Amino acid sequence: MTTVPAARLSLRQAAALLWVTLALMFAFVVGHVVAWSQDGFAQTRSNGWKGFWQGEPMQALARDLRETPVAAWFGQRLRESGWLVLGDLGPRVRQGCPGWLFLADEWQYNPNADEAWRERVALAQRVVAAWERRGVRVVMAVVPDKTRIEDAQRCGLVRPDRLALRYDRWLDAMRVAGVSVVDLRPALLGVQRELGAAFDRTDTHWRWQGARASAVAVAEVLRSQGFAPSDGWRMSYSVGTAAPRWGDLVRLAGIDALPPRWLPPPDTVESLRFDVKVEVQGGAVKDDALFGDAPAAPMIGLVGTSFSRNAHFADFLAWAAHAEVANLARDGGGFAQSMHDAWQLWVNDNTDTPVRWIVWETTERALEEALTDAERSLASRLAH
Amino acid sequence: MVFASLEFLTVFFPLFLLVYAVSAPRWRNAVILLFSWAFYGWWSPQHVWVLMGPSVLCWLVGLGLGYLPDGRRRKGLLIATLIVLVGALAFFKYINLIVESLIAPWWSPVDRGWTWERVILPIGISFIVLQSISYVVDVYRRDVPVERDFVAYAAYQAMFSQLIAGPIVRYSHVEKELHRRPFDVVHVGEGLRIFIIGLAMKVVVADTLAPVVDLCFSLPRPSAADAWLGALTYGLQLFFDFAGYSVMAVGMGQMLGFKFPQNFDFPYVARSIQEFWRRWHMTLGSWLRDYLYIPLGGGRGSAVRVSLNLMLVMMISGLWHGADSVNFFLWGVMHGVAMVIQRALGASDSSPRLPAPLAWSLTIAFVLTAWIIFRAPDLASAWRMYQGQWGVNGWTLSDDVLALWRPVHGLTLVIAAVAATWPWWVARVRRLRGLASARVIGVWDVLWPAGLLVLSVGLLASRGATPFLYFQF
Repeated sequence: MTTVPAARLSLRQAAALLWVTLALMFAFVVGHVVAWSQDGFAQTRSNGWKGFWQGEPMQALARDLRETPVAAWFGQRLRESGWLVLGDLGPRVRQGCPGWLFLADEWQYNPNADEAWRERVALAQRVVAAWERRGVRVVMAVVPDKTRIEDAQRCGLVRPDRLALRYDRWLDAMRVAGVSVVDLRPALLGVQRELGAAFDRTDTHWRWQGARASAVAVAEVLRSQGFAPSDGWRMSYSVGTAAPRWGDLVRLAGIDALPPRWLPPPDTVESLRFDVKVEVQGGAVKDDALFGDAPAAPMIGLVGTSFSRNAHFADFLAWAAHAEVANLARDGGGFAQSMHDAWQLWVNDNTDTPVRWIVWETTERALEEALTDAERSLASRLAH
Repeated sequence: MVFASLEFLTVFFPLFLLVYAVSAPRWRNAVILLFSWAFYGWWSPQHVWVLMGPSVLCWLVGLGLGYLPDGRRRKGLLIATLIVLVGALAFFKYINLIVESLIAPWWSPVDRGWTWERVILPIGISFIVLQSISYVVDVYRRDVPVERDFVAYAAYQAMFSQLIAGPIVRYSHVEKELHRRPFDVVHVGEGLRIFIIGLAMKVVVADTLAPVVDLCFSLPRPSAADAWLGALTYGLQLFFDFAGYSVMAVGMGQMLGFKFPQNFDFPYVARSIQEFWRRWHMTLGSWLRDYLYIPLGGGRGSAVRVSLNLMLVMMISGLWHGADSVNFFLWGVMHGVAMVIQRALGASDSSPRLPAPLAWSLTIAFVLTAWIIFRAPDLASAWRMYQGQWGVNGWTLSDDVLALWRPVHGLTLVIAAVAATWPWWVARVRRLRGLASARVIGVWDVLWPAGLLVLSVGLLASRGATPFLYFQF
C-alpha cells in the first residue's frame, strides 16, 4: 500500500477527466491573456532585460492571475460554499452572536507586537513634536475595537485576555510621551447603552450615532486644549430615511453575491444631510451647501483611516467643533499612512500649512501591527 | 514557480502539455529540458546556471567514467566530482552559518573594508546534488550505462516535475523511459488523477492547517494543548505538503510516461522508528542507505559500529535539511538515538516487543515531539514548546488559538487524520464500494477527482500560491 493509488481508470474515464480539466484550464487561459497584457507586458517593456533577469514580469503575471475574473469567480464561490455549509466566513471575518460580524484583525496575534508597539510610540512622539515645531497642535483619537465595545454581541467568539488592557496601555503611553489623546470608549459605550449598538452589525465601522458621539468627544478635547472655533461658522444636519445595507464585512467574507435570504440580516442605515450656515458681517445668516461659498481656510486637518471616511465622522467633527475639516484620511490608513500623506502635502511639498490643528484618528487594532513602509519612511524623515 | 499556483496550473503546465503533445517523440526530451529550465528560472532567470552547471558537469564526468578503465584515474575522477558537488552543497547551505557564527565573532570583514552579503540558497539544490551524486556513483559502479545523449541526461536531471523537492529520482528509475515511453490518453488521465490528489493534499489540507501551526509555534508561553496541537498539525501539514508534492511529481511523471518512485507509504501508521523511516521520504532513505550507510558497513559489524553508522547517517540527514540553526542536526540526532535504542532492545517489525496500539502510540508521540525541534525557528522556541508539552504553562488551549480556530480547521484535521492513516480505513471503503454498481463507481471515479480539482483551484484563487515546505531544502 502506498500513498499513490494504483492505476484504475478506463479509457472513457480518463478521457472524461481530461475534458473536464481542459475545460477548466481553457476558462482561465482566456482571462490570463488579458491579465498578462495588462501588467506583465507593460512591466517587461518598462524594466527591460534587467527586470526580466530578476523575474519581474513573471511575478507581475502571478499577481495579475489572482485578479482575473475567473479566479475571482472561483474564490467567491468557494467562500459562499464555506458559509452555507460550515458557517465559515473566511480567515478575516467571524460571526459572534447571530448577525453580528467582526474583523479578525482585531485579535490577530503578532509575535513582534512589542517591538511594533515601541516603534509606534516613538513615531507618535516624533510626529507630534515635528508638527508642534511648525505651530500645529495634534490630538490623537483611537477608535476602540468593535469586539471591545460590542462585547455583549460576541457570544462564543473569543477575544484574547491579553487585549483587555491594550487600549489603556496606549493611552498611558501617549500621555507619558506628551501626546494629547482622546479616550473614545465612554462616548461609544454611551451610544451602545442608549441605542443598543455603537457599531454596525455587518460592517467594520461605527454607526453614525457612534461617529457623532466620538466627534463630540474629540471636539471637547480640542476646546480644552485651546482650540477656538470659527466665528459664525455653523453646520447642521438632518436625518433622512433609513434603508437596509450590508456592510463591508459581508464583502470581505466573499458572500455578498448570495441572495439576501442567505445572508446575515442587513444593517439599517439612515441617510444624513449636512448644511453649512455662515454668519456674515451685519449679522445676516447665509445658508450654504457643504461645498459652496466657504469662509476662511479650513482650520482642522483630519488624518486617519476609513473610520474618518465613514458614517460622516468628518462632518460631525466639523459640526461639533464649528470649524471646517480638511479630510486627508484614507481607507486602510492603519496607524500613520495618511499622516505620511499630510506631511508630504503640507511640509515636503512646501505648500503653506492651512491648519493649526490636526486630529489624528487611528484604530486600536493598528497599534500592534508591523510598521508599514510609509510609516518607516515618515519615521526616517522626522529623524533628520 | 510552484505547482500549487495559478500560473503553473493554468499557464505553464497546459502550455507544456500542448507543446509536448504536438512534438515528435525524438524532440520530447528537449521540450522537457527547455520547459524545466524555464520552470527553475521562472522567478529568477539569472540563477538557471545552478541547474545547468551540475547537468553539464555530471554528463561530462559520466562520459569520462565510461571511457576510463578501472584504476586510480577513474576513482580520482569520481572523488574529485563528489568533492565539487558536496562542496557546492556545503557552501550554499552552511557558509552563512560559518561566517556569521564562527568567523565574524573573531574576525570582522567589515573592519577591513569588506562587505558580507548573505549567500542565497538556490532552490532545490539539495535534491539536485543528491541526484547528481547518485548518477556519477552508479556509473562508476557500472550499475547504469553512461548516458551519451546530453539532452536526455539534462532532461532527466532538470525534469521540473521532480526537480525542486523530490522524489529523488535515480537514473536507473528512468533510464529506459528517457528513450522510449508511452504518451496516451489513459496514461495522461491516470497521471492527472494522481496529480489532482497530490494538489488537494497540499492545497486543501496542508495550507489550511498552516495558520494553526504558525500560531502555536509563535506563542510565547504555549500550554500543553497548544504544544501538542502544534506538533500534531505540523506533523500533518508537513506530511500532506511534502507527500502532496511527491504525489504531484509522480502524477506528472505518469502523464509523460515515467514511473517515478513513491516517496511516502503512510508513515503515520508506523509502529517503530525503523518502520517510520521505511515509510517517510523513502527516496532519501534509500539514497542514504545505498550511498552512505552500506559503504560505511551498514548493519554488518559490531553493535557499536552499527550504532555509529546509524547515528552518522541520521546526523547527516539532519544536516542535509539545513544548518541555519542547529535544530535540524538535533532532530537527526534524536532519530538516530531512537533507532539505536530500538535496535539495542532487539525490537523489529517481525518481533515486536510491545502490543501494536502501544507501539504505535509511542512511535507517533516520538515523531510528533521530534517535529517540534524540526519546525521551531531556533532552540529557544523549541524549548518553549517542549516546556509547554509538559504543562509548564498550563493545560488548556490558549485564547489566541481558540480565537483563530474555525470549523474548517477541525474538519481538515479530521480529514487529514483519516487520510494519513488510510490503511486502517481502506478495507471499510472497499466494502462500501462493493455495494455500488459498476456504473456508479465509474462515474464517481471521474467526479471526485474533478471535484477535488475545482476545490483546489478555488482555494488557490482565493488565497494565492504558497511555497512547498521542502523547497527550503
